[in-house]
Amino acid sequence: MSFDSSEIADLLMMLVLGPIILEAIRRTAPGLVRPATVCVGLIATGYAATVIEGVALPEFFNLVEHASYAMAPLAFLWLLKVSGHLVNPRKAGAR
Amino acid sequence: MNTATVVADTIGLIGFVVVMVLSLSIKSASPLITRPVRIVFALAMAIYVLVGASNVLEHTGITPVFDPFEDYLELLFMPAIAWVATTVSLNHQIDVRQQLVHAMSAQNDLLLSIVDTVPGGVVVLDPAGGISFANQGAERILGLRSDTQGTIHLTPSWVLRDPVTGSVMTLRDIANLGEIVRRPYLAEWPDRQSTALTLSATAMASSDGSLGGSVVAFEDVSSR
Repeated sequence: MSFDSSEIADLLMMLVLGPIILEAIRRTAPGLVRPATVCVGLIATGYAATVIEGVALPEFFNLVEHASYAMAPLAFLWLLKVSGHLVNPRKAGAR
Repeated sequence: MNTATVVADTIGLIGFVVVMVLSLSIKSASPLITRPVRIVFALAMAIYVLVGASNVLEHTGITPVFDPFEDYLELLFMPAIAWVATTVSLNHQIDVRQQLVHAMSAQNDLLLSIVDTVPGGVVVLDPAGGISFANQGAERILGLRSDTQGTIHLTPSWVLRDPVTGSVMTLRDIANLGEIVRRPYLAEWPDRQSTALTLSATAMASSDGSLGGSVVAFEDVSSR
């Protein structure tokens, strides 16, 4: 069993700030909650897998960690798309 | 070398580069997503670009030298995203409040235009009998004058007399009368001339529930 203190800190940071981030998004743009939850969830899965791989099934949880980081950009792209960030204002007719 | 891990790291690295470049290069259609928000979001994505690059270098056997820094870099990710989310939320609240202020200002201007357009007089009296607002009709009928500080003066001073009881009433008395519906009064001027008025008033409640003055509307009926 081996833990790195920074891995635990990452996970704790996620547990504290994740709900705050999602609550801020829910209050601002409820339509973004779903992609934001997937983004936070994938990053949280990566952090959790990093910690768990030190306890059990290291190869499996290492793969889970890297797979979740591989999928996270797709979730962030979804978040940007839903937020209207990927709409070019000039093409959308905005000034 | 674990091929699956390397493939996942490479996909993640390319993906986070794409997200970082897109978030920086395309200006958002939403006014809530300001330039600082985009920059901090891109920096958060850059953290995972560096983590991905470090992982690829490590797992392809090139060098593990950046590995110890990964977890510390990742510590910055969640605070950066939290700053982005809370700043956008704050921008949203400011935006909503500004829209409310503009709507209330437009509504206030509309009401003032309506009140100034009516031929009768409308004044707002505070509980002490001071005039806090008078429309153009009130200024004309009662000879009111506003100074540069916005204080409204009675020039020349007149008194209101109840034609039934003959008692003289001050503006303070009227401010504290409460509800009045079309009661006749005489405004008596210093030169002994008088103006016949019909007067209606509505009491205003202050925040503590006590009488907070009144809105008084009247018309000149001398010619009737």
